[in-house]
Amino acid sequence: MGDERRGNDLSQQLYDALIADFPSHAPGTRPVHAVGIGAVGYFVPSDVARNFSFAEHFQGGRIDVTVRFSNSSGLPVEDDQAVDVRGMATKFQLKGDRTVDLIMNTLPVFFSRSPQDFLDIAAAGRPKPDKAETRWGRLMDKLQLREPRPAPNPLSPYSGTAGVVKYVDVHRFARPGVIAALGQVAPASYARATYHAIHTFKLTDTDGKVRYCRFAWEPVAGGRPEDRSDLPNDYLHIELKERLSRAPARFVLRMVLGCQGDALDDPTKLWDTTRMRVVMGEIVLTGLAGVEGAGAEPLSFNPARVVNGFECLNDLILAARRDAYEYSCLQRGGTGCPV
Amino acid sequence: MIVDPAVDLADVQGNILRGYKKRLVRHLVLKVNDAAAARRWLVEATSGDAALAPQVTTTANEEPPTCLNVGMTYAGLDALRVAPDQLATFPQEFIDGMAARAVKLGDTGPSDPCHWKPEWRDPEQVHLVVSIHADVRDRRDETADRVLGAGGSRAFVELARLDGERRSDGVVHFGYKDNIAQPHFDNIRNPTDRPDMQPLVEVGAVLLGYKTPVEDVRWEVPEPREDLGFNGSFGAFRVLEQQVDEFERFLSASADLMMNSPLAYQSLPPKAEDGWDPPLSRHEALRELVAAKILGRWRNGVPLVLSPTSPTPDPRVGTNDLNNFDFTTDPDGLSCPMGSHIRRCNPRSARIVQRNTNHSRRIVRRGMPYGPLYDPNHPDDGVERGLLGVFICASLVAQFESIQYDWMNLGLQDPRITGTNDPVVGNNDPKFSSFKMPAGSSSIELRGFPRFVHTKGGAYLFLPSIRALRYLGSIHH
Amino acid sequence: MTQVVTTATSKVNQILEWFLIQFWKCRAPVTTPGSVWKTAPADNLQQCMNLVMPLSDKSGVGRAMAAKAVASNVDEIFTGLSNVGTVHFARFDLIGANLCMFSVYDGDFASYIRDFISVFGSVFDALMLLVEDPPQLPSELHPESFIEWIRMHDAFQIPGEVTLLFPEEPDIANLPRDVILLLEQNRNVQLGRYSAYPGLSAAQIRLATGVDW
Repeated sequence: MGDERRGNDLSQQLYDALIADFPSHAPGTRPVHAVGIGAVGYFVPSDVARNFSFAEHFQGGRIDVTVRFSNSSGLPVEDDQAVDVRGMATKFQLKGDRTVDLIMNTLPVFFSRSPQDFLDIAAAGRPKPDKAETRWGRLMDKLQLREPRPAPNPLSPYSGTAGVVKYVDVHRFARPGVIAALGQVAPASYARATYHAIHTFKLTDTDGKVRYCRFAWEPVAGGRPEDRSDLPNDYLHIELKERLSRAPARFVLRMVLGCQGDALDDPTKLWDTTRMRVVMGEIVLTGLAGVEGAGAEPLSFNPARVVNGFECLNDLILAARRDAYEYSCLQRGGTGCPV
Repeated sequence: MIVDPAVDLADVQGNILRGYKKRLVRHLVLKVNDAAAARRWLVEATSGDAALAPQVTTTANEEPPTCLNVGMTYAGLDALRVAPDQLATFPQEFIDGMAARAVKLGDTGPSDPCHWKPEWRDPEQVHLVVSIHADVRDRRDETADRVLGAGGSRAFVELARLDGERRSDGVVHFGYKDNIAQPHFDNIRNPTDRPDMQPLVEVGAVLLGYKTPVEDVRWEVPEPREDLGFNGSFGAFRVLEQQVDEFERFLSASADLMMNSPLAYQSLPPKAEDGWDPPLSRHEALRELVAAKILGRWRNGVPLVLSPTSPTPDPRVGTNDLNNFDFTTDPDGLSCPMGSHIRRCNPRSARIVQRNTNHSRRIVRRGMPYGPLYDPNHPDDGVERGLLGVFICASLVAQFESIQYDWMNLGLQDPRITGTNDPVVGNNDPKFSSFKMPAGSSSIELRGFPRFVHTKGGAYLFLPSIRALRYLGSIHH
Repeated sequence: MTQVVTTATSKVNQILEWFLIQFWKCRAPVTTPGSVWKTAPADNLQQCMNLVMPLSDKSGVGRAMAAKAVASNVDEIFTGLSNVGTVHFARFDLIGANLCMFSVYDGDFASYIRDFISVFGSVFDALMLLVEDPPQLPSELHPESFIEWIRMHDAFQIPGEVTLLFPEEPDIANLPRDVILLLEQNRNVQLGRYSAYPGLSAAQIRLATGVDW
């Protein structure tokens, strides 16, 4: 028991680094994406999905799913209006107690190529007291044709943004990811955001042909940022409960096919919008999971929990996430931890 | 010999309109050291006096025992002090140089210029490529030495010498018989040329200043037109290393796959290989079939269109008939796949997407193998071997680059191959490569093959007319 | 009164911005990235051209002449584009005093223009007579300069990822200014594009939908 809880050295480092970024983290919760709400429903593969993969969940017929929406912050206090990356973790129920996970979040591209990169940026992003920009500072920004710094978050007067910005000045590969992260806006609903799986998957069809693909959930209701500022801190939970009581929330599983020259194991590289797109299916969420959506909290979602015909690649970040997620699951006493 | 009097063959360098029949070649890659001495050499080499310097061979001569030809890069023209306003009249792709166009040509990965041989890596240094064709080694060496000795050995610095040798049976390193098809020009031809069912090609396809095969389009001629550009041509000189081990391994792996595939019987009926001469085992025959399907001809040169299931059909396809076919009789590629090398690079009259370009991109290919012959009994010998090629045309961007960019790679000319690259010479990545052999109502897909040809160097050359060589030699600086 | 003040403030703002842009153009200039070739098939299919050609006669008469020049040559244009074979869509528009051609095509830009010179170059030459600073004509005798002229009048295309524009920028806080200066240099810009069926050539779509290619 003690050995399992220690995990390997790297996953422990990652876990600890994340906890350090959130000093008020509550034990027994996830180090990031601490606050979440679960929903249940089903996935229907499209008619062409089986042409691209022989994996069970793409062959046809409904597959039961459990989904956990979350904010990426590790703070135990919910703040739905913060500039934050949102997560959507999906668990597909296959035959005989087997499950496949597909984890996505609202970042289309990541900011680290390897666990070491991630530790470096997490260190750079250690929160420091965040003061509002002075009038002089705002004037200088205007004269230099720069954007003014965003106002500090009243709920959390510490911010790691300044440190991260210094980091990406030097580490150019991290720029697209950080720019995407800094530009995150609060959505009007968890069901009105687009989620991306930043890793590349390897799909094999019945002919043995292999294709390299990336996935995204596209909301059928369309994406919508939240423009009101006077909402309660848990408005996304309230909204989702209310939405699902009226009608299901639906997302389309969009798959993009990689081409020669595309980065297959580097989540910091975006693929161009010119890539071929295939609709692999649709997910229909019919209600909350458990009492008030708490049914997904004990579950373990792991980005490496895949299945034949739908596999991961040698992405360093993915490998690290697999171990770190397992470790974190064990730390908090979650269900179904080992992949 | 039928000759159009409008073309002054004595003004055109040799090996452009008619290929040399020589066994040996030495390409001297040169940097101009002393521009005045280099210019003097150009005058001497076109003076008609062999005592002064070996003479540049023209198309008018009966092919002499040793042939000498000269090409210059943009940097070379600049080194010879051509005036900037004249340099600016040269086409942009020539000014950029082959290394700068690498991505367009598919020279990426192992073919990336950063992996090229040292002499090619700095395009500013490569000025001239002097090519010496001969049958006798001593004569070749002597001519080369005389060129290097020009101007008291001050004219040029030798960056490299690249030697090629043609085998008597015309076989190149992948085992194919090469150099079977070349354009036949409409006003310079030999009545004994092999019939090829293709229209005659306007001489403007290779020479500047004439009607081109592209409707009413005329390529812009570098200025001064009469003195420098007219009767000149452009050549893409390429050092192409061939990965013969990987190629042979691919043939074997593909044969393994097809031994168990019922579709393979559509392409090679059961026991068909027993009727070959000599008969081969099924596995060996499938290897030969794959080699044929990816190229478009059996390794002995017989085109698939004329004989899809045997390299030695009965009656045999005579040497004179090796080009006597067209793809119009094979619209679905059941004999010769649409993605095969010869069909990609020269679609003849096959139906293609860009309907008016069937015959407008034709180029002249000159090349010779380099490196020792591959011995299948001693594979993986670590020896470098390949092809020294020059692809000659009047407009590099409209002909050579267009073929390379959207026919050879990308496969834009036929929707059934779009998105895939030439299996023999294309820019292939094993994770994405694919070649389909139509068979019956379906097709056999070969996947996972790497790039078999690595570009190891090269340059875009201007092949001036004799008058232009004299003009370059007389520039006052 | 507040409206006057607001208008005055915004005018002052505009003048201030103009000065700032002129200052930073000299202090921290940016270069428009040249066009790059890409090896991925999907990057070479469905490429966009946004050709903006200012008319020499910007009056209603000039615009009407441009409209007539296009309308009276519709047959040649259609047949020509169809025979080029790699064109998905093409539109001719009059936007302000500009004659524009927006098209989506497959493969190399130079091949596309060269192919359409050879199939309907004469029509294009007639249009060029109405345009400011036309290229050397006839296009058939000056294909390379014609292609270069078209390239100069093709709108600049912003890549999907803004960091690709200025990979050497040492301070990401300057990226907004770099973008402002880039847009100063390029009056006509394509900001983005969407395709319902990316990664497919025109011929592939025609083959797959049974209308023959």
